[in-house]
Amino acid sequence: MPRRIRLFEKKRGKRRTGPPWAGHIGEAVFYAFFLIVGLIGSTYLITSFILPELRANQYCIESTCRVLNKRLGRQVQLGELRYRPEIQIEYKVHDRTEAESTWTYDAANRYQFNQSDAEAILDQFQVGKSYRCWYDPLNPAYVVLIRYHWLPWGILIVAILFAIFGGAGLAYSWIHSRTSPERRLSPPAARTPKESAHAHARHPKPEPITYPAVPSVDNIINSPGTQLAYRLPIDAYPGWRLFGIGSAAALWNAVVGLLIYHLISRFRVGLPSLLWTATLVPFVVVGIGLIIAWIRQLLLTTSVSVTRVEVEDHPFRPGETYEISLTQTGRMKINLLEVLLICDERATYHQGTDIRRATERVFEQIVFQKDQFEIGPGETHEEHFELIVPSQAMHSLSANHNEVLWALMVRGKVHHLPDFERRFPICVYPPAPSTGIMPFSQSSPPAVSRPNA
Amino acid sequence: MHDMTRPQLNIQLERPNGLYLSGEILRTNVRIHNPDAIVIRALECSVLWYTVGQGEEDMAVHFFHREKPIRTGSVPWDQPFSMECVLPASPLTYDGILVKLSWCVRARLFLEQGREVVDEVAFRLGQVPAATMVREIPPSETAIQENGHFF
Repeated sequence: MPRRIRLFEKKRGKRRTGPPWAGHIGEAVFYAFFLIVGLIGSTYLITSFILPELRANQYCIESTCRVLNKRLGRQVQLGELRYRPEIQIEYKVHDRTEAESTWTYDAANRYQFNQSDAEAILDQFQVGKSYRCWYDPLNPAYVVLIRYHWLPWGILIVAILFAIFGGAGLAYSWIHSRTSPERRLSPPAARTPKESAHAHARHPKPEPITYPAVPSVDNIINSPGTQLAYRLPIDAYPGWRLFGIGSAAALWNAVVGLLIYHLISRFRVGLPSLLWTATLVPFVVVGIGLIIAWIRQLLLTTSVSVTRVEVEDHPFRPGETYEISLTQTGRMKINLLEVLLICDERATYHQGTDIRRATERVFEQIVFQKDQFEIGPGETHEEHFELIVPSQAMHSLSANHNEVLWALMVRGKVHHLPDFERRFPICVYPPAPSTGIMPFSQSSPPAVSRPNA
Repeated sequence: MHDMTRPQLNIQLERPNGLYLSGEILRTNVRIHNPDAIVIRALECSVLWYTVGQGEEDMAVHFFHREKPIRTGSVPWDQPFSMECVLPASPLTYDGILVKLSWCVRARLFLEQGREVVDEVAFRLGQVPAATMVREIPPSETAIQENGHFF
């Protein structure tokens, strides 16, 4: 039998299975706690510390005093014994002939948690010596030796931040609980105006077609080609991959080297450890593997050299045919070179506190293939071919957590070298609207017809 | 059988098959059954898309309308609300392996004491067929696929 109220449920990312009201209440309590703590703390600090210190700074007049005596003041606060330095001073008020005498220290009468802290302050004042003091001319009995403490101001900033965080969170939580997800996510252009919406929808103004959730092609068409219109950017430059693998190999092997050095030292002093040696073996194997990977990448980067892909037009459209130019440099004997049109789905999700990505290939087609040829020194191998984008292809999709990614992938099998693979992202747009009706745009809002009241 | 203690929503698309192309006009009626059962605060109608699948949900609203009475009785809730909007060029409905994108018309009725009634009707934008998996991509991909795979 299902429970009537389910407060604690499994949560993955933003998906919740519990009741929304329980979430809103929990959120509100969380933020209210910070707001209350912040407000109480701020009020206490302002009235107990900040205002007295402001009084000492704004209204008190500087004078000179002589220390007559000193003692350690004690008081029980919240069940704990606290301490404060108390200095008896004699000071001169400017319009009086007789000197005043009182016990004082700071403006806020602040007590210390530690006895040693208070005693350290007392040690700074010597009996019989003169020091600066500040007294209130309207009430000369009010005098202080210290005008500032940085600590209350620091705590006040924290308390105010607590109050701001709590207040803003509470306001957000309130607005969140009062509005639907659709209302929160609807941009102004998607909302109907208060009146005369119907006329706009029946006669939409011709506006440029926009493609929501389709990635921009700006980064792809900003490089003109030499053979065709655009030179496609490469997804990850081999040089960066080489640098990444090299850094990882260097870091790993540096740590392993230190461990090996430590092990050798133990052997030298006659303390061989079989356990240490056995533990270190897999680390050494991984280190060697990283060095091999780096050498492979180094060979690929230096031998395979540059791969260039150019296209006659961009973005691509389903069902359309496009001319492609492939240029490969580098002296090598190629067993197989091919170009694939690929489409991957990529999903991003939270698993616990980790952000994970899953990728799945949903389309792969060889659009060019050539085997057994050689590129001589200083030569450039060029190929021209056509590709047809499938007529029912899904367009490129770019949402926050879900993507459909199209790319041209160049793969090669090279004689005496590891296989290489280079990826060139492309963008496939959906078919243009074919009905003759211009799509919805910002200046042609859609409509609701309201029944007459 | 309608619950008579609270209003019910019924959304009807102009096209029963729910198939639309981008640029076409989506017309729909939203009817409230039993509107007098409880005080209705507001009605929100939206045309939106959202993703379903392994990734976290993405959602975007293409059309939004909120009907809120200025005073009691100023909106005749018993009459159907008709709305229409021109559908955008993208994103198209997609039934992928990891990524599934759905379009729907959603109506949300706000009642007294913070209660809500929500209903939605899915429709299909575009003609993209369901995707089929080619293969999982290993971290270091070296194998070469000989044949192309279509959707």
